[in-house]
Amino acid sequence: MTEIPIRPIVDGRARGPALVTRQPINFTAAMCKVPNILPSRRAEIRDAHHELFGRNVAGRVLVFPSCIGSTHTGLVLLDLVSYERGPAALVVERCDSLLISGVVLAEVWFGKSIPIVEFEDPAVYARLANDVEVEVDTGSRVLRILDCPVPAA
Amino acid sequence: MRLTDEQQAMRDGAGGEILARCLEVIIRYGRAFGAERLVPIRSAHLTGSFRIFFYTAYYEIVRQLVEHGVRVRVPTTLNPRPGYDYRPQNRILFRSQRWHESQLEALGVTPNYSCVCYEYANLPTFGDVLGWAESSAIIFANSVIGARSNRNSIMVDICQAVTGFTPEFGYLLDEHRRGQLLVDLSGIRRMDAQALGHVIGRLAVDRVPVLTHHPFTRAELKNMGAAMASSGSVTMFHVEGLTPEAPDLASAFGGRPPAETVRVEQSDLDALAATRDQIRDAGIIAFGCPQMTLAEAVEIGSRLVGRRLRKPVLFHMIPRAAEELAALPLYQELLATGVEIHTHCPLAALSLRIGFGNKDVLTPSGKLHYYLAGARYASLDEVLRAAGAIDAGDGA
Repeated sequence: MTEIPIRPIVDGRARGPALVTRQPINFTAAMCKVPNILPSRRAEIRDAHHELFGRNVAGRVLVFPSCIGSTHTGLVLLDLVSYERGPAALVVERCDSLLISGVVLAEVWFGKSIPIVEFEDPAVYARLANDVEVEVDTGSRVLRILDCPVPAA
Repeated sequence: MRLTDEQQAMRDGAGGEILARCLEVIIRYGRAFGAERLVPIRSAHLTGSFRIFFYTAYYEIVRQLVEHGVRVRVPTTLNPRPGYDYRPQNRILFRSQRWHESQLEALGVTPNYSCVCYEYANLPTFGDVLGWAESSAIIFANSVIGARSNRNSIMVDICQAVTGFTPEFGYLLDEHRRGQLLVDLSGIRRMDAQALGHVIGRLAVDRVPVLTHHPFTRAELKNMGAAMASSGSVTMFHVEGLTPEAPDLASAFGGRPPAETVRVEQSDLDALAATRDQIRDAGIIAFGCPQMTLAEAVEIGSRLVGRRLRKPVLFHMIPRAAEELAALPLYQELLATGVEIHTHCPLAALSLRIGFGNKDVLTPSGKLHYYLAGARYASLDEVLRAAGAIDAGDGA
């Protein structure tokens, strides 16, 4: 087990498989697309400009550099967090006003929250592969890498 | 965070429990960024004008505010409507649109319905502190007007409008407004401000870029900033010798040397352009994201009138600008040419129009190109050529 130091922005504890990208995410462009509006209520990245196109963020510990784009982002996260359909935690290099907004709104209005943490060392991208089980723990200020995924057949 | 007596009373429920919650949102939002106090805002701008069932939590919060009689405390404007398209599928999607508009108007919001609020309804001046949302409006207010707003989310914008406060951090403070990245424009032979905005958004991401001098028009600054705030999260930029906090490069960088310099080449701009096949296949040509000003509509419209249009051409205008255009002879000429003049949000309206008409959109908007699935980008001249406004022989 490896531990990576993190800086808590919104407190909490969560675990799940990592979904990692070095490309900033535009949540509005990613989420406000027809497949996610359908009754299945998926949370797939549907931004054709993004390398994670088609990947579902639900239950994932999302590791990315920063959030870009529209100020609708807060509402996207407010819904994803309030209805527990979104990522388990946000692990970012640089936190942003829009990331915070949605999570704070969900917390104040609906009593639901997810941890948001910042990391400093860009080596995190190389050390975390997609689907590796990780835990975010703001109490001990670490990101724990719990195990490696089963290699693809 | 230190609260004033007035703020503490509001937090304790002097204005009701719902208003206290709105203040709590702002306090926690500010605390995450180390803000030490809440400061008054001169105006607010809201972006949550669409009633789309994806965002159910937001509408529940707005409903609670209206039910408890909460009202905005500062002048507050509102983003465009999503458009009314009365085919059956759209009736379902937008059936609650008018209800949502009445909810927002019940909060005391000015029903200007424009993302370009700074042209008519909401006119900040240099140094004003704002509680705005809408990334394209925020970047314009910071960069071109010299007012100060962070990139506030929908609903946080409402919390700020009804409390009249915003946490003091980020772009409200001098040290975060200084340039971080020098963008050398000397490699560009044919300026295309919107393509440049897209390229700079990718390069700068969340930093403050400083562009070497170019005499951009006000409309170019509007459209270029919107593109930067789409492909990146650029919240403020400077143009040497043009924008108010950049009389020269040294001032723009606060006396420090730039941490990084990048040179944008002509090929970087050209790389964004649609191919000839894509241009030929495009079924709709869309202008105005952010919405067109009167000046833009006159400039582009004058080049279209009397031409035989090769594809449907849509203008998306600031509602007030469209009213002013309607008073000019050009307006009737444009209608006679076949140009459609709308005042709604092109992204919302075209998402549906494409979805059910399956037509690709060609646009000179760096922002619309980013957000609208399937939209292709071309420079203004290329788009006008595709529309039929420039003869094929004119240097094609």
